[in-house]
Amino acid sequence: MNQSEEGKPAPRLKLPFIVGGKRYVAPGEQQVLRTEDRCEVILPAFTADVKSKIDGLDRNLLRDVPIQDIIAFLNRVGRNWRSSEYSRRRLFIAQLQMVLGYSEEAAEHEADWIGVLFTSHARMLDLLDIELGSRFILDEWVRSDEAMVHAYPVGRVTHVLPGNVPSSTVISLLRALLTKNISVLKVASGDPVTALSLALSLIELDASHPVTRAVTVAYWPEDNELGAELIRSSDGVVAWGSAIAVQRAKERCGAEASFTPFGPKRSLALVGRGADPHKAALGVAHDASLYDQAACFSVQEVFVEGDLEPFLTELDAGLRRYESLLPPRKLSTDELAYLNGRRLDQEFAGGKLYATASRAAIFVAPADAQLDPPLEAPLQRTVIVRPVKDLVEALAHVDEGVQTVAVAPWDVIAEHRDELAKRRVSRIVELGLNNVFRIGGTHDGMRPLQRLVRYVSHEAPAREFPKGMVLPLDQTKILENKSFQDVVF
Amino acid sequence: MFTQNLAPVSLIDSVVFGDHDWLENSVEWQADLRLELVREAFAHHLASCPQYASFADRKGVTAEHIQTVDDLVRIPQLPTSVFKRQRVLSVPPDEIVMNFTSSGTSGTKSVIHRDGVTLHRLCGMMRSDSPLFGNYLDGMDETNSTIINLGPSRSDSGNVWFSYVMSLLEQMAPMQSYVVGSDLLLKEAVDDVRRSLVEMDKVFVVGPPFLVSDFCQEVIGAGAPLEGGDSLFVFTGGGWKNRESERMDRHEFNKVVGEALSLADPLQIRDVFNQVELNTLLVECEHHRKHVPPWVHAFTRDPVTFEPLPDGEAGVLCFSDATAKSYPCFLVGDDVARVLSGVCDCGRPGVTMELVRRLRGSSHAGCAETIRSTVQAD
Repeated sequence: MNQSEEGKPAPRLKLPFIVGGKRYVAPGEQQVLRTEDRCEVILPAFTADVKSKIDGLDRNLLRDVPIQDIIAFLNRVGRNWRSSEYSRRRLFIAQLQMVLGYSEEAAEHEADWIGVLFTSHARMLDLLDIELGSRFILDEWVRSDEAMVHAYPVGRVTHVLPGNVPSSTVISLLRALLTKNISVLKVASGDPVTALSLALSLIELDASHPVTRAVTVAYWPEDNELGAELIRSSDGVVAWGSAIAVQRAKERCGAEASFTPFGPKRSLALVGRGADPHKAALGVAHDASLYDQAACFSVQEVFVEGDLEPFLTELDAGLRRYESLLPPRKLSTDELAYLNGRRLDQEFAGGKLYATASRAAIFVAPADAQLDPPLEAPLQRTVIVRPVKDLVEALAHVDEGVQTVAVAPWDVIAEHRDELAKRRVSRIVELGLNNVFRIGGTHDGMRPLQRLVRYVSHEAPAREFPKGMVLPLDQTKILENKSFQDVVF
Repeated sequence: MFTQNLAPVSLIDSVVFGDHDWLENSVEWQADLRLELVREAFAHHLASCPQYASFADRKGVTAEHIQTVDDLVRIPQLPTSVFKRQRVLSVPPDEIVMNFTSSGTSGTKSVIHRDGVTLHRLCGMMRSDSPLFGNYLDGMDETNSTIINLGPSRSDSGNVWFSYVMSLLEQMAPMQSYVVGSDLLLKEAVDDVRRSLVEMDKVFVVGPPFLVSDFCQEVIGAGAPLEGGDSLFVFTGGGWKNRESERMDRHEFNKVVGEALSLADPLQIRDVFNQVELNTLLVECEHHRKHVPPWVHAFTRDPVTFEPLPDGEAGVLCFSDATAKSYPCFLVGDDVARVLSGVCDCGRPGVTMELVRRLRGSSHAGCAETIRSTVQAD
């Protein structure tokens, strides 16, 4: 068994909360999170004092801050993260390894993503344009046909964060800041470090900046009533993670608050007859290795049309290659036992183990295999390959639980796109690009920024002819003359 | 004529139901018996359960491969998750008499389908003179003993396996059950223990440790000491369930219970291991080691490789139980344990098991959905 089983104490990491951009260190009570057998994280207790300080924060703090100032500040933060010498980045990389069990390479990759996302100023403006209709709409009244429309932040957004994909935390926070909301980042017990690292990097750059003061990071256990109250009194809730976590957040969300769910999804790949086996397999290997399949865009199953053997050989090589490029997360004893059990379950259900690498595994599912619900996917780079005579057969396995369908060769998609859309998938991408959310693309069927703003319309006066009318809008006169149908075309 | 329809008594039944004390035989003798019993069970399930036979075939293991005790680890085993999602039967469905579930603290529960033979074998173990219990129940009979069950009666236990198993203790002595509906009648239980201690030589309090803990708190809260002396015995099983945060280690538990009930000796507190997928009770001896009878092969697997571990090394606890006829009871369990072969400190030879802890479930699968929802065809 592992070292901590043998009595060696797990390393400890003491972290603060951040409340309104300030470090909050509890004078007495503490919470201890044990992340598997890797380490213990000590956080302040979520007390009435913490909650009252959060309740006292100005929900309109960013309302009048120009978007360009917000983006400029984020850009400066991102440039720090892009530097391999930046101490917060180095600490984050060390903590991802210590707490989440990431390999150094995978942790570096996460830090790179933070740098890239925070410095994507042009993309941020594009995002506002695409999702809200105008990049000016949060700063001023924007003409929208017969009205002027101004978007405002909903106020305080509570993010129920996942423990599996650090970049989700980054994206969630950036969306809220771009829409001028203040955020409460409720971290998951599995990843208490990403949100804190982001908030601390804001403080380190400028503790008094409104963007810094718009960020709060805390943790409370699921059954904590103060935490539940905080969610109930939020203007918006963004919930990531398991079905239970998302459902619980939804139940606690206020009736008038906006709710943005990023619940459990799975993703799959279609490999058509004309695909280059090497290229397609490498794409699957990438999409199944990133985050060790813990992300909703992670490919779990691959439907392969045509000759299987060349693809399997290449997939085996590709998964091994990715074990070098992005070594798998260090798993606890219990996680490994769980993984072995789930893989054994695949075998009992008829899956044939084709190959294993140091962590990755490939199962081939013959037509008579019972790999259907409620069999659990093992994850951790376990790829289920389903040979099909025609990719149309794959459609029977597609439902609203599928987020991303990755395809190769690219031209195959024209044939299946409409049918996949009818079956309620969210994204269709080229194999190997599952984690790249393109500008203009959607996320779980939504344009999420729209959920984080409230629109106010300042509508045209009577003297301005409504569309379809050729005279001023005088409703009394229209009623008196009973001419409604005559004047409105 | 009368014997024409009677099947000859099988070896497994003669061991389970017989009065032979296997603990009087050497470790090697028990191992040979274990080989014979488990191999016979393996052959039965290969012949009777197509799903299991197909699995074993894919694993490349046949009955012929099981020639020595060391070969028993080759028998293909199933993770308990299999029983959470599908029916795995080695008898015709119409022979199933009860479908048991785990008491389960969360998530999907295992469902184990048991036929009459499988259940009878379990009942056959539940007798005070069974070597399974060592000498813990010596001298217990229905005239001098009573059982206070901190659980539902057999008729109220429904299909929850643990409650059913504990209620089977009524085969040994009169039993009163104190869970009615969802209420635990603690005051009544304490009052009845006091009364029984006056009337009976032996009084057994049985239940999961968290309810025994509640029972002790009730005794302390009542203000009147309960003098258990050498007449009161506590028999626990089933773990702490959704009160895991209140778990006491064994030493602390014995101390709290021993003091609250004024027991003469902490050895009067014993624990039993069982799970719904397993058809046998593993009962603790005086040295707090759980003895494994010769019809069960217990060993541990390395959690990383799933390869069998040598004696004494902590790993994932696995069982092959020959008493289960209706389903292949060849299990990769959900606990971390050590299994030892040899002569226990209590003096009894054989295999013993020491539970280390429960395996923690999967963590942080996060937004990657691991179970596909049912596909609705257009």
